[in-house]
Amino acid sequence: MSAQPSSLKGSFFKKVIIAFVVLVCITILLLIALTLELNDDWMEKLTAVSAMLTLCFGVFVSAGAVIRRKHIASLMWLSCVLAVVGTFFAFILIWGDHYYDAEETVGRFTITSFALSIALAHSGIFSIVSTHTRLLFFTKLATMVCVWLCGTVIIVMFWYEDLFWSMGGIFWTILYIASFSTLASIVGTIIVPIAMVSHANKEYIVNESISSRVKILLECPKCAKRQELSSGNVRCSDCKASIFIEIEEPRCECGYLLYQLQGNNCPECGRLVRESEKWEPTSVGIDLETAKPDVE
Amino acid sequence: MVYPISMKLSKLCLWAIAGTVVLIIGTYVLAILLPFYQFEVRQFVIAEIYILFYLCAAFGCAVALEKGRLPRLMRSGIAVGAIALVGWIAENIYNDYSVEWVWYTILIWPTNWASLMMIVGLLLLPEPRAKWWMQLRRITIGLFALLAAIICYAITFHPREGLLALTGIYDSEMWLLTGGYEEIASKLGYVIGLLACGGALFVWLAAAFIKPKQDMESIIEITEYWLSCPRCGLQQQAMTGLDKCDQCSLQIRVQLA
Repeated sequence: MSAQPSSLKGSFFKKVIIAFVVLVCITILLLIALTLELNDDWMEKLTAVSAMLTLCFGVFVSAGAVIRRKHIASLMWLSCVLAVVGTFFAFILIWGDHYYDAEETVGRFTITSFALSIALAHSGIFSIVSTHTRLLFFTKLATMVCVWLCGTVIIVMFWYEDLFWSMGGIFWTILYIASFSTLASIVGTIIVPIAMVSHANKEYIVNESISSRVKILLECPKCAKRQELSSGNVRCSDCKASIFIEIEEPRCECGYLLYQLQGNNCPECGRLVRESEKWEPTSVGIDLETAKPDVE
Repeated sequence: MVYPISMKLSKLCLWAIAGTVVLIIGTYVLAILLPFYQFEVRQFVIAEIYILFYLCAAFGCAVALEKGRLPRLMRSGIAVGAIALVGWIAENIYNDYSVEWVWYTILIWPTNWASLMMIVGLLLLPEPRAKWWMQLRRITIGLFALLAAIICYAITFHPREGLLALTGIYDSEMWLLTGGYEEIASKLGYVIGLLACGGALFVWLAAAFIKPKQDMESIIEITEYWLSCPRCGLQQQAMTGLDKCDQCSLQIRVQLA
C-alpha cells in the first residue's frame, strides 16, 4: 500500500480483488454444504465468518475502485476502516460465547459499522458513475439518498429498539419508509449501472445514418461462406461458427455523428475530435444529404 | 433515416420506473394519511411493485436489444413479461386463495422467461474478454436457465397443488411425498441459484476490471475476411476485431467466439 492515503497501487488492488473472489467461492461452497446438511455448529460459524469477510472485501473492492480514481479517497478509506471494525465485532459475536452479556451492544456496533461502510462505498461507486441526462442524474441521486435513508433507519432501529415498539403508529410509518427505501435502493443499484451504457444516458437521441440492426453482407472469417448476417451474436449458416458483430458510428461525446464531418471540432459542442474517429474525406459517391445528422 | 423503436425503449423504461417509484411513494403517503383504506392501499402497492419488477426486466432487455444482443429473445422477454404482469395484477385483484396455485402454475412460466431474458441480456452486454471469461459466461447462462427450469417444474408439477392435483391424479401417497419433493426442489434451486449468482458476480466483476483490449489479441484469431460496408456499400477486405470501412470510416467489429 502506498504511503499516500489517496493512492492505491495496482498490484495491491489486484490482490484485494483476488482475495474477494476466493472468499466468494469459499462462502458459496460453505453455503452449499449447509444446504446439503453437511453442517454442524462449527461449520455454521465458519460460514458466518466467511460471509463477513466477503462483505468486508466487497467494501474494499468498491472503495478501492473509487480511490484508484483519486476521488473522495478519505471517505473511502473511512469506509474500509468501518468494514474492518464491523468484521471485528462480527467475529466477537460469532465466536465469543463468553461475551454473551454484551451481545446486544456488540451487535449494534456491528450493524452500525457495516451499514455506514456499505453506504459510504455505495455512494463512492455511484459518485464515479457519469451521467449525461437529468433523469439518470436524479435516479442516481435518489438511489444514494435511499441507501443512506435505509442505513439510517436500520441503525436507529437497532439502537432504539424499545422506543420503536412503544411508538405505535409512527413505528409502522418508519417501517414503511424502511421497506420502501430498501426496495428503491435495490432497484436503483441495479438500474443505474445498466442505464449508464444505454441510450437513457444520452442527452439527445441522435438519428443514425444506418440502423443498428442492419444486415451485413460478409464472408464468414472461418469458412469464407458469403452470407447476410445481423449484428449481435450470430451463427454462420454453413460452419455454425459463433460470430459477434457490432457496428458503431464514430460520434462526439455529445452524441453528434462524425460521419462526413470535415474539421477538427464538433459543430455541436466544440469538442476536439479524436484522430482515430475523424472521417477521412477520401470517399466518393456518398450522398451528403442522407448522411446529415439529425438531433431530436 | 432509420429510427428503430429500440433506440428509445431504454429511456422510456427508465422514465416509467421513475414514475412508478413516485406512484409507490404517493400510495405510501395515502396509506399513512388514510389508515382505514389500508387493505386497498396494500393491493395498490403490490400491483405497483409488480409493475416496477416488470419495468426492471423490460429495461434490462431493452438495453441488450439496443446493443444488438439476441434481439428476438430480448423482444420476447419484454412481450412475455407484459403478459405475466397482466396475469399477476389479475391474480392480485381476484385474490382467490382456492385457485391460487393455478395462477402460480400459469404465471411462473412467462415470469421466469422474462427474468431469464433480462439476466441473459445483461450477461451478454460486456464485450468478450478472455477465453475463460467467455466460458464462465456460458456456464452462468446455463445455470440460470437450469434454475428457471427447476422453478417452473417444481411449481407446475407440485404433487399436492400443481398440475397433478388439478388433473385428479392425486392420492394420499402423493401428499405424503410432498415434504420430500419440496425439500429436494428447494435445495436444488438454492444450490444452483447460489452457483449462478456467483458466476454472474464474477462475470460482471471481471468485465469491470479487465479491459477488453488487453486480452483481445490473445483470444481473437486475426483473420482476413471480405465484407460489403452496410453504409456505403464498398466491397473490401477487413480484419477480425475492430476495423473500419476504407470509404466511410464506419467501425465494424467482427469476432469469432
